[in-house]
Amino acid sequence: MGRKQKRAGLELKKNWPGYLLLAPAVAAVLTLSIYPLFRGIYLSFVNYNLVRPKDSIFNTFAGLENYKNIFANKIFLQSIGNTVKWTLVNLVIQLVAAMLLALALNMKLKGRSVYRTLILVPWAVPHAIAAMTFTFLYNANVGIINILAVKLGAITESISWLGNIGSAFWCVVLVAIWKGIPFQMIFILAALQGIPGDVYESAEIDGASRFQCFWRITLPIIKEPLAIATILNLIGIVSCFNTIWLMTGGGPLYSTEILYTFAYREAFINHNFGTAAAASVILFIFMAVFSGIYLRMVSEKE
Amino acid sequence: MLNKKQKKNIRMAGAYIFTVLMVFIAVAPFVYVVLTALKTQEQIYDPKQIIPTYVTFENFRHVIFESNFVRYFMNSIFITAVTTVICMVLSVMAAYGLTRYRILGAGKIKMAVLMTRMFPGILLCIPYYIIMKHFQLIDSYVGLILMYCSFTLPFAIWNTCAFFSTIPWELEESAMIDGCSRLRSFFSVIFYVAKPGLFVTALFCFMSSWDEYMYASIFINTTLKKTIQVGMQDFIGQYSVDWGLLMSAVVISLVPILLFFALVQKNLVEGLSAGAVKG
Amino acid sequence: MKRKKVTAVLMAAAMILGTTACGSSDSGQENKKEESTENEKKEDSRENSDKGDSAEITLLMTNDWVDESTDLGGEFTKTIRYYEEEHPGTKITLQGASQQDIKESFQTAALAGGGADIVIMDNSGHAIDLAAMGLLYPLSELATPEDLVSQYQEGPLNSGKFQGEYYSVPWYMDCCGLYYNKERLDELGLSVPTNWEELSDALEKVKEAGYGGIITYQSAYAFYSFFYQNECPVIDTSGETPSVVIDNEQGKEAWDYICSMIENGGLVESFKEATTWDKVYESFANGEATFLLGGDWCANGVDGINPDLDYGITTMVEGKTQATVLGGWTWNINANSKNPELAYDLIQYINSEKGDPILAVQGKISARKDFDYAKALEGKERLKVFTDEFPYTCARPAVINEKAIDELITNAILEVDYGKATAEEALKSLTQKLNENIASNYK
Repeated sequence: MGRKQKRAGLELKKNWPGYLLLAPAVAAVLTLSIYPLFRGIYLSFVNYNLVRPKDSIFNTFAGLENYKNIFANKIFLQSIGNTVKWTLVNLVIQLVAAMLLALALNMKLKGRSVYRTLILVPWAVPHAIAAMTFTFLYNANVGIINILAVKLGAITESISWLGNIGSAFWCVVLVAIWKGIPFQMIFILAALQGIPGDVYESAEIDGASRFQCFWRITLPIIKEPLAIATILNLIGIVSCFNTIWLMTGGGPLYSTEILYTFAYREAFINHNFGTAAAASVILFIFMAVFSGIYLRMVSEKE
Repeated sequence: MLNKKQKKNIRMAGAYIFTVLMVFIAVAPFVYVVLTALKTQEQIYDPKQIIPTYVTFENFRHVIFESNFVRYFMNSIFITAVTTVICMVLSVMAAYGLTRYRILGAGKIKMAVLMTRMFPGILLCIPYYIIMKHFQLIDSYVGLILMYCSFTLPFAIWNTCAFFSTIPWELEESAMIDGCSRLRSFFSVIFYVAKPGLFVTALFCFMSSWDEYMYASIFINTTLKKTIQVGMQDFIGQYSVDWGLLMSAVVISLVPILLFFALVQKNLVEGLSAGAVKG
Repeated sequence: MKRKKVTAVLMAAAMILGTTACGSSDSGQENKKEESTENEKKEDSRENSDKGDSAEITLLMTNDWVDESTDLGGEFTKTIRYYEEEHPGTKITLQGASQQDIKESFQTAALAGGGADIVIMDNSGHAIDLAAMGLLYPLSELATPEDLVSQYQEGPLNSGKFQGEYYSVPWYMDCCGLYYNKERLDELGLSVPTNWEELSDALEKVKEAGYGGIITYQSAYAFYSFFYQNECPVIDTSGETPSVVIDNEQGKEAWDYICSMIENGGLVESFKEATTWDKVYESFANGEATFLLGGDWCANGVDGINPDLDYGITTMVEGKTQATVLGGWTWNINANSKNPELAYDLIQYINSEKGDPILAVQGKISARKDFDYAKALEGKERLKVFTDEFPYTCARPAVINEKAIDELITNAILEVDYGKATAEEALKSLTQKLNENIASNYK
């Protein structure tokens, strides 16, 4: 015990410049992420309705009151369902499309670098701008989608894509997918390019089919970067606030409301920070659980 | 039964078709945006004018010379640049410390830092509002930059670490044996070898702060301080939306990013592969 | 070895110094100083140059007023410059926000202790929310109630009255009218509808001919009119606490009328996405909708999209009585304002005849009692119909959280439009939600 401490002490002494170099970054992360996180969690247990600052209960401990409030709210319950649907649909489609695209771009196609650059365009387009652009494309009166669909005879009358309960969700999903694929793809592509070619040669001699090659060789090699990329992408998907907010504002009739937009609405439209914090904590738990499940799935395959 | 070559040809054809289709989907909306930006108001509402018969640059002129757009653009450049520089400096320092010294629980620190990326922005945003109010940092760039660092730093630190750990210690050692100081060997060896990775990390920081909308819309109130994403909403008026103006603003705001992208595109995959694969 | 360490320390120190790292909020403030020196310098020089009567006022307006390149914004900024010239040392800054966000944007800033000195607000009761939160400066400090009552129309003035105190100064007002596609009515041999039955008939005929019916903004705005026409105030604000009366006999009748219109396809498809007014004009100007319910500003919007459209404007249809809903904007002074007197003076200036050219651009009607309608509408014959409506215009219920109430009503209408609920179910749940909302705000 004593010896161990001594060794740690020695090491600390020897490596103190390293700690010094690390300190500012750690301090930044602590003050900018960790502290606000705990403050946010704390807020979820406090009465903090900014609209009623003169109430005697303002800024007092509320117990689980905020959580009770949001779970009694039908819109909140609906938004949980929407969040699960939103995340699964986005994640699966983006993952599959990005994987296919990365495999294709990893082949020796002519003009590969041109494709690669063009494919990245959606990623370079900021979310807010993508949202505005697609709102314009979906527009019932001037939108190209309606104009073309009517011309081609697919529909007889213009449809308000973002205004109907059935279609709005899928239209917004489409934008998120459009925007999300390149990010995921570039990570997979980067991982694929790190695989040396001779790995496949031996497999091909063994007579393995292309699919088997992919499943047995490629996937295990890129598994780890793929997991990281997917988690990063998942974070992006769950917090895809801009796209939804600027396109539908969570409407029509809350059919595109996810936890994130619900929390935003509570915080900065209704100005009730307590319930908003409670909703964001639920969102945080959702994200943690989701990535936990995903990580377990990835490591179990091993 | 198809022979191997035929199979390969089919696969290549499939890859081409799929890639071209995806490229089309990726680019088509943007092309239509450009077309719209070149139209007059009447043309936009005319379904026969999908491809305009004549073009006007009036929208662009208006956006550049008669609106606050250029100001917003510069604001965004400033905020983004400062955020990127702060993040890069901090993460290079941290990564050097983590990979070149023996730090207790280095792996755990790295993972913990990356995990902070998972905190939902809205969960941080609510306490930020109270904290920033306390320090009177609402409606100030400092507040905004600090908040931007919260989501750019984790990935930057993590990615830089991944890069530095791929560079063999021997390279530095040999440089130091040649008489270089540690600082010099850092710049001449690590910095040089990790350049593509640092480039890409910086690009990520830049992109994510350039893209940010929610914090900027909540915390910036003064018109002339708005960032480009928020300022763009100006073209959505009280009683009308001028699509031509909005779309030309979109085009202008994208040109520099796309150029930047085309330039670093080659580095992008290279820069990520070391980090992502061996991370 | 030793040198190695020393350099590493130096390196770290250099980097820390070089960036004034964003580690703590203290160093953050140092950063602020560096970055905002430019601004501060400007402010300093201004403060030094005109000590004494120097004053600064910021105005938060909706975007249209701030954009100098438009007629509206051009005229507005011109008036502001005149004021600055007449009051040397006063500096007025304009800020813009979108119509949908202006209230929340102001609220977020004001709750943090800042925000523009003056903000314009829809006169649908938004000011009451802000007053309840203590974010608005009470006008009693600046003017007597008698003064205000003698100067301004009652409806707009009362939209900012909370607990017997006035909080907003009315600017301009408008009311909802019925726009109709003249060419189409002629084609179908229909006359302009004047009452509920005629409107239903017209909608049916239009529908049979394969055209769309009514377009309006996706809010409760235009729909209030039908309740008022049936003598139901939706929410009765005459008592101590507001009471929901939307489900009384008259209210039910009005609701059933609205729902029967909707169920017969009386609202066009675009209504579902008409969350901004431009979609409303598009639909009408492109011929999708035959009727449009909206205020005077729609004329400009429609003309902008399709100048050749042959359309007319008439008064809202008549139910049991003639009624329409009041709209318009008011001036509100921030409770955090350092200079409320100057702010009030500026408001008075813009509201006086000197500010009339601003309103004249689009034929808007000042909420001033001595305002000359005839002069304002010269050359804008079409808009005269709105002044005919003013005598029977009713304001929306002035209650806390009117925006949420508006949203509840809108959602109920949408539920019926999407076929998710019958008229009866929708009204029942709407009444319940309205009651809950009022109860939570008037504890």
